[in-house]
Amino acid sequence: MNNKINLIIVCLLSLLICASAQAYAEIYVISHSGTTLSESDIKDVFLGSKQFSDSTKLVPVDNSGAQEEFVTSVLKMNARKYSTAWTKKSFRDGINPPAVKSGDTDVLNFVKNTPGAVGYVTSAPSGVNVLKKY
Amino acid sequence: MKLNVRGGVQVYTICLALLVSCIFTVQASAVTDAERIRDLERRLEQSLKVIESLSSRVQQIEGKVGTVETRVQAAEVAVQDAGAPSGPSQADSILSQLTQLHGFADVGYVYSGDRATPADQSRGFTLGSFDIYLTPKLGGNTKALIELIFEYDAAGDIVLDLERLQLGYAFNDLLTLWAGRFHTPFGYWNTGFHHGLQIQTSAIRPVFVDFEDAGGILPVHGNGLWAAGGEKIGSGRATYDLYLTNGSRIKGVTTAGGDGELNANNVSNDNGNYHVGVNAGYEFADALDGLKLGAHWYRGKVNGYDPDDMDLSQSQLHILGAYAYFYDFDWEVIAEYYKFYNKNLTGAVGTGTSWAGFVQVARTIDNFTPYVRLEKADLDQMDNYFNQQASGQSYRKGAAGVKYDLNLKSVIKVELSHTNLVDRTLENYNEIRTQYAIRF
Repeated sequence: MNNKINLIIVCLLSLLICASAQAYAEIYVISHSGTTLSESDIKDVFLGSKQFSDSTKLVPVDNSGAQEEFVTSVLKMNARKYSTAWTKKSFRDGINPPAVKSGDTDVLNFVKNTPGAVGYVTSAPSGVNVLKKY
Repeated sequence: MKLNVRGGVQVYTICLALLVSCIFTVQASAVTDAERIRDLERRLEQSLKVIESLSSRVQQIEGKVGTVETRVQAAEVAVQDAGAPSGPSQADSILSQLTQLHGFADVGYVYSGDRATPADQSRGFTLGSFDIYLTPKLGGNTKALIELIFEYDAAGDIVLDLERLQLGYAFNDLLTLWAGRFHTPFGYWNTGFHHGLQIQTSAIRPVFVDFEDAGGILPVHGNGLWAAGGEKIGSGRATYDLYLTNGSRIKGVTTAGGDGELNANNVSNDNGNYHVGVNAGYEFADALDGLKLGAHWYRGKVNGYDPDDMDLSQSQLHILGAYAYFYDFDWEVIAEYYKFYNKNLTGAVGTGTSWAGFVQVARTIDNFTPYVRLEKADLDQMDNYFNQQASGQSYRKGAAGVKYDLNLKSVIKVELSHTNLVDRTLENYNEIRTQYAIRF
């Protein structure tokens, strides 16, 4: 009986921890190991204003699982403004918005293997540059 | 009914047997429950182990698939950068390029009191334009922007316009060089919105920055070279545009004047005139994030032609202007000012000064964005550049409306406006306009 109660408590605690993690997800903005960027470049890269790091063309990618959190807490925008900003940018300057990857694994693999790639994930990554943790 | 004693004993015996068996069953059940729970716990543990094992296996497989996909993407990037055909992944590349098709479309209803406009053009349901633009991924630093417009003209004939055909090369953030036909980068509105009615708050553009064939007085399209770039300075970003285009001309001018139409000289430069312009701006950050301030300068000779293409006159178009644009979650403010120092180079020579400007303020409350715009053009009618154009007259206009966002990509707008024509003709009229605009 005690085991069952313990199990229930553990389950409830796990749910609470998961819920907290969901509400306050950490965002790690990362770049390819050979790509040097500063923390202040992040917004410019994800809004298309900065397209190069030295001679390397930057390839920003969005993370579908963390996009809302990223847009809100890192870019300080909402979905409507982010979408409109990219439509205007694309319409005026002929550049395309970041491709949207399916999740952390997808983003991490892409950033690790693509020179100039910049992305963001929700858990501590390895093998890439961490530009900033939010 | 009589009860048979023997039969009654048998019944009692059976009942007793049933009762005893029930008791044993309950006891056995209690014992079985405990065993079953232990068994279930054992099975649960086994299942958890199997799930853990499967999860780690799935992660391994996903990792491998992700790595393979990433390698394919990296290989595609490398292949595209090398400018070579992408071989087996060509279908993916074609699909990827097709997805870079974007566009705008709008329909609506207008009721105008403008007596100068034929009734069939000023009242009724309207078809706006169907605008598609492509930003294909060409690989490396090569860029392209191609825009096509389908719309009906005043005569009811469908018109297809090659609105933009820009081929470019991005050297770095400081320099992207474009060649081809583009939206002239003066002020903010012309390149910021142009045919993108869904992304502009108001239903229609300010009159004086309208298209050349729709009442505008500025060369809003150019064919030539355009260098653009930006650099972080302080916390914000400085931007510039520098361009050289074929000189525009005014076609279809009769001796009376006031009926010509500006034309961008797209096919070739038939009069040897070239126009040059520069636009410098600064995008603020931090506390002023969302604000852009800029100034622009434009200069070039413009010739006027009669309906038989005879060269009638030449004037020097010279514009100096400034603009401000602010956009945050709630507010949008746009203000533009153009000062003209034009010079007649033939006929009644001399320099005239004119100006035009507008201010538009919008406030977003949930899905509603009410807005108001005031605009004015004070155009010297002795200036050949203005007096030869059908739309080159001075005016004042006020407009107020509301935009309702159905979702991110579709809006409905209702706009009321009042226009005063103040010199060539004296007229004032009201107009109500509704518009349903989408982007994709």
